[in-house]
Order: sequence, then structure tokens, then C-alpha cells
Amino acid sequence: MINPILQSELADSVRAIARIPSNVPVTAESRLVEDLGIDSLDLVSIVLTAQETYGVAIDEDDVAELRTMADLVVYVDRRRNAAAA
Amino acid sequence: MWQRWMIVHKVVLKTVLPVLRRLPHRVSVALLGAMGRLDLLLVPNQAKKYETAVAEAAERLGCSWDVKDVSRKLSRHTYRWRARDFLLDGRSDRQIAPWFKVIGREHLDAAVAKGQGVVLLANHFGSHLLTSHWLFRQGYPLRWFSERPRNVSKYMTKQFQTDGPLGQARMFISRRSTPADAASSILRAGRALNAGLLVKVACDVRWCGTHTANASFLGRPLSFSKTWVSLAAMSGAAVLPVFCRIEEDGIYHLEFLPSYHVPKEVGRTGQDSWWVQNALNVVEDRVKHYPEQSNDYFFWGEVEEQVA
Repeated sequence: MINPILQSELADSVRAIARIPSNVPVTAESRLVEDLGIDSLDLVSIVLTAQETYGVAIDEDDVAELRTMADLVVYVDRRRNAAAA
Repeated sequence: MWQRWMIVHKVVLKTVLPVLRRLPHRVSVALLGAMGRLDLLLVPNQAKKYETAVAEAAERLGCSWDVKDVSRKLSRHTYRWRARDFLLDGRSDRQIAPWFKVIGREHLDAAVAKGQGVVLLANHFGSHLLTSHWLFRQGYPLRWFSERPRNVSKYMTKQFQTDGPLGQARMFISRRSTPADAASSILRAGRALNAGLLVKVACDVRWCGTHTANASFLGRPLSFSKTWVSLAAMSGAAVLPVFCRIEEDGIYHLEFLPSYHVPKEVGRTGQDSWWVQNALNVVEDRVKHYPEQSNDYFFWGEVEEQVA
């Protein structure tokens, strides 16, 4: 189950960092690289912003597994819950 | 032709290096110089090739070099440049210490002492690999943020075998990496900097793609990677430019320049291109002063075609 609020916040963040045009939808199914055209430095900025905003630690090794928006949202949510527990 | 000749150089070096390593360093360096001169004298069109490359560079840079003299000196450095750091293999730290003349070590130590990591801003000028070799020998915690070098000494290869989260093994990048893999490498490099390590990044890497900056270098408009700017901005690490050239007497002249910081907001303000150009201007200045140390740059086009 994807946290809709987190998804909306992360979608806004991704859109701003990667300068995604407003006519391109950012959905849970959107693939970060193939659909949204995100490159390595955008991805670094997205990860660093998520770490800072949500106080989570994102392992460098896990970044390669974050292929879609849903992957990103679920990962950040899980990390945030783990940190809170 | 040039590519084929580079392969010949490689084969010749592989044959003679074991012998050269047994000789006094000064003699080895002199012999490598003589081999380069022989190239120029014996290989058809080789002298013309060098002189054309030097003359073109002189014209683009507005330098009044003596083209024949620079070409001769450049040829003497060709095998030395191709020998990379292999001459130092099997030699002790004490043996090689007198072969280095270091200027600006205080800048290096001051940058390291800040504890926020150091982006060692490297280049392909002169005997650039010897900087890393010296740093490893001196015990500085160095990592490379680059493609894995194909030909380096056994000593250096051993230094690259560091493992773990901050190890070198997983910090090498590839032009064929996916954006996600490249992002992982950048984050690892950032973590290494946050841990206070030195991370070597070259400022003169020609690159294609979105995160590049168009800059003028050696009188030509080219596209360069600006990853080092992002890395310095996001980590807050000191940026320390370094140069290394080899002289006729076999001494490696290492020069560390004063460090500086790249503002955190550089990406947002769109000033990253300025930092890229600024770093390249410093390299270009060295090329103007020491054209005979510019083997890599003066034959860039041909090398690029070889890679493709």
C-alpha cells in the first residue's frame, strides 16, 4: 500500500528537481529514468532531498533498485517507519 | 596510424620496463626520452605529426612556441608519459622519495585538516598518475572517482583493492553505467568525502549528456563532465587542484594549489559551467607554460576515436 501523501510530496520533489514539464504525469507507475528522463545527478539530488526532508538514511546500494516512483515512495516510507520505531 | 603506433609503444614498453626498473631512475628516464626521440627520427611522418599537433595547439592558444623544439621535447616525454607509474614498481618508499619535488604540500595538509574531505581536482597534464602514486605512498586516504585505469603499476593496483562501503572497488564509474548506478557511485564518493577522504576527480573529462558543461579548452569548444562541481557543492569538501610534470632529470614536480569551496547552491544558480571553465583555464595555463608536458591533450582527437 502506497502512502498517498508521501507519494504526492515525493512526486512534487521529483518534478521540481528534474524539471519535469507539467504536462508529463508523475504517477506511482512512472519509471524514474525511462519515463521521467531522470539522470544520475537528478537521482542524487532526489535521494539527498528525501534524506533531508524525511530524516531517513538511504543506502547507496539501494538506489539502483529504485526504478519507479512507487519503489521510491515505498522505500522512503519503510525507512521512515523503521527510524520512528 | 597514431593508434597503431600507441600499440607499438605499449609492446615496446612492456618489453623494456622490467630492465629499466633495475637501472637507476635517472638513467631509465633518460632512456625513455631517447626512445621517444628515436621515434621522431626513424618513424616516417612522425616528426611531421608532432609538429602539426604542436603548431595547431600554438595557433589555437595564441602561443609563440618554437614548434620544432617543443615537438622534440614532447617526443622525449611520450614514452615517459606512456610508462605511467610503472617505473616506481618494486621500489621502496625511501628509494622514490627523492624523485618527487613537492610544492604546496601545506595546501594539501590544510585541506585535509578541515576534515570535510578533499576533492582532488586532477587532470591529464604531464605525469598525472604520479600524484596518486605519491599520495598513496605518503599514506593519504585516497579514492578515485573515475573509470578504472587500465594500465597502472602493481603498487597502485593493490591500493585500489580497498573494499567496504568506502572502498575503491565500488567507486569506479563507467561511461556505460545506468543513471541509477552512476547515482550510487556519486553518493558513495560523497560519503567518502564526508568521512574526510580525498577523492580524485579529473576536471578535463569530455562527456556527453545532460549534466555537462560547454567550455573552451585549448582553443576548442568542448563538452565536459560537471560531476566534480556537484560533488564539491553537495559535500562541502575543499577542492584542491593538483599538477604533476616530469622533468629531464627524472624528478616529478608535484604542485598543489590553494584549495577553494564550491557554493552549495551552485546547481540552482546555474553557475556550474563557470566552475568547470575556471578549472580548465588553470589547466590551460599550465599547457601554455609547459607544452612539452601535454602529450595527452595534443593528440586528443585520435585517442577519442580509438575509444569509440
